[in-house]
Amino acid sequence: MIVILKQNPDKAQLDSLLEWLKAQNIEVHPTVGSHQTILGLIGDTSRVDVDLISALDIVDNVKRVQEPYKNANRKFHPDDTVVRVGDVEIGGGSLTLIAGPCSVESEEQIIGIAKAVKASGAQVLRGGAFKPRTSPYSFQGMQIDGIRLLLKAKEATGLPICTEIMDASQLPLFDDVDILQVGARNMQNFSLLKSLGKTRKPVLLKRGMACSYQDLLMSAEYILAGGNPNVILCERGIRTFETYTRKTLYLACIPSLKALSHLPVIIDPSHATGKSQLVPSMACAAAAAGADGLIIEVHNDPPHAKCDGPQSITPEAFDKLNRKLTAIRNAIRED
Amino acid sequence: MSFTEGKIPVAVQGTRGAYSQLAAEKMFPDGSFLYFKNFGAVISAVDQKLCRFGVLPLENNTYGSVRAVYRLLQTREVSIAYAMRLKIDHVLLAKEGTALQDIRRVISHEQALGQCETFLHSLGDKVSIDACLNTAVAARMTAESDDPALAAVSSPECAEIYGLKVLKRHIADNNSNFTRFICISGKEESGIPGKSEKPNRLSLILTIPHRPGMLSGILDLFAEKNINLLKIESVPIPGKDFEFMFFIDIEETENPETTRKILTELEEICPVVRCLGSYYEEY
Repeated sequence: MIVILKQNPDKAQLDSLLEWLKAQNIEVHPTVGSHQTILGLIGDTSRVDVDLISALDIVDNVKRVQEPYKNANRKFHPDDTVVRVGDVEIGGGSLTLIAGPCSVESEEQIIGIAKAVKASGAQVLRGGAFKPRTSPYSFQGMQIDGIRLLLKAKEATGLPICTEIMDASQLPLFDDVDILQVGARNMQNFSLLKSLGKTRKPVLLKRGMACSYQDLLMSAEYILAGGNPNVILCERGIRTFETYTRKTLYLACIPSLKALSHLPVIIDPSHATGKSQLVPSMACAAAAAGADGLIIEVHNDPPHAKCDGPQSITPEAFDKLNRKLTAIRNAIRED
Repeated sequence: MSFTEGKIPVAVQGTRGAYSQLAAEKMFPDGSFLYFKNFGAVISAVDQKLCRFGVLPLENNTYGSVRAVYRLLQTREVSIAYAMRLKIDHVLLAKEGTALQDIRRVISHEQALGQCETFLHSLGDKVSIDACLNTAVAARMTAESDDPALAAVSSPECAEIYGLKVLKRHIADNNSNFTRFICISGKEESGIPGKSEKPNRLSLILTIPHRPGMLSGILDLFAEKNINLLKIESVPIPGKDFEFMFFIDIEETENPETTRKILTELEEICPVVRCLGSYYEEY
């Protein structure tokens, strides 16, 4: 249920309402927007008297929210959420570029790529340390050493780092990591999501390849319900009958998720297509569709990459792409 | 029960500056007031313990009963804990820069409009008179409106609250203009905090069988026991063929036994006997 308050509601009256709701075990999430203040009510709201709340002089309107996701719902939070990572802002049409190799392979490799993508306009460095591979015999990532090398690259370039966490037990290793990525395969690892909800670290939540928007938003809800508001949604392609591309990149998710939710939406054209030659086109399409950011795999030597070489673009290609993205962003900017 | 900084939460219809608030402030100098858009919500707020007490206007000595409140008393479980009479002094408010002759529309609660009928009539045919939810809501609407020809009949307090100018003071037809307000509470309350006077009034709701002499027989019961009737009002029962509910207020007796006895006797005759409360009314 959401309660939309009139502008500048009287504090004493609002406090009385909040105390009363609390006494009924209703959790209240206030959002002070630019135009209005909204109270998001979570809990057993079936017995809450809508007529009584509507009749309060400080209340403008009361609506029941049918969707099971509440905190992630745009009805609860009409303004876009902007997730801050150091000086970088993700959300509200930011078109933040997150770039780097699929996996961290060596100090030289990660620092070299970090410098190159930074020079081309990337604002966050990505790199896998713990790799969830389909096969247990595949390269599993450099693990804790990979994180150490990412931190060295962060020190060398000043770029915040984004890397995947696979299990809640790894959290202490991620203390200095700026954005915790939850991979598509872990999107419904609810115990991991609950643990991330207890932190305040930005979480990049990838959509599972066979999960609906509602599934994705319910996973985001797990993190938000724990008190962590810093969730970034990421579309990385879904599984369809088409096998030419690795997955099917579903760009309609950008306007759809933005209508349903206030959370930033970023696109991963690398995993979605699996083909480096398709990445620039789909990145441009995502930018044109209003994505808040892109996460792109960039490798200095794609043919020899230890993981996902075929979908990685070179630093030169990334540089060229970034110039196109800037032009598209300027073309669709509304202000 | 919700308490803001230890203050007693009190439900009031209207908004800041409403006569109900002025009455509520006299009853609860330390109250924390919650304003509601309608009278029914004031009762719901007390029922559902959003507020410990609620204040409702019941009748005015010029314009009579507040029908909307009587209708609610017919159907809702209500317990009266206290009552008071408030002197009502209406003023006509408009925006700064508006003169009396510029006014083309006057808004207020229908009771207030009714109490100022002579004055409003004197404004002439070009002025439309429209009822709204509450006298203070009328002042707020006037302040927020773009129409400089709009005026409100409100309490003098509203002038300061909403930044309006008083165009004319003392506009009620009768300068001895009083409204009775009741304070309702949950059944567990007796009286209101800070007031220790003994009850002087008892309010009853009855339905009386439609037979010759029944009403006079009931009134005789009070007379026989030397009980003074303070009020008797008949209110039609919605949907019935001109059947009525009787609201009867009596002077509370010294002896609680007498009251109990009369209630028992009434229950033998009347299909419905409801006691709204034995309470003190402040004059």
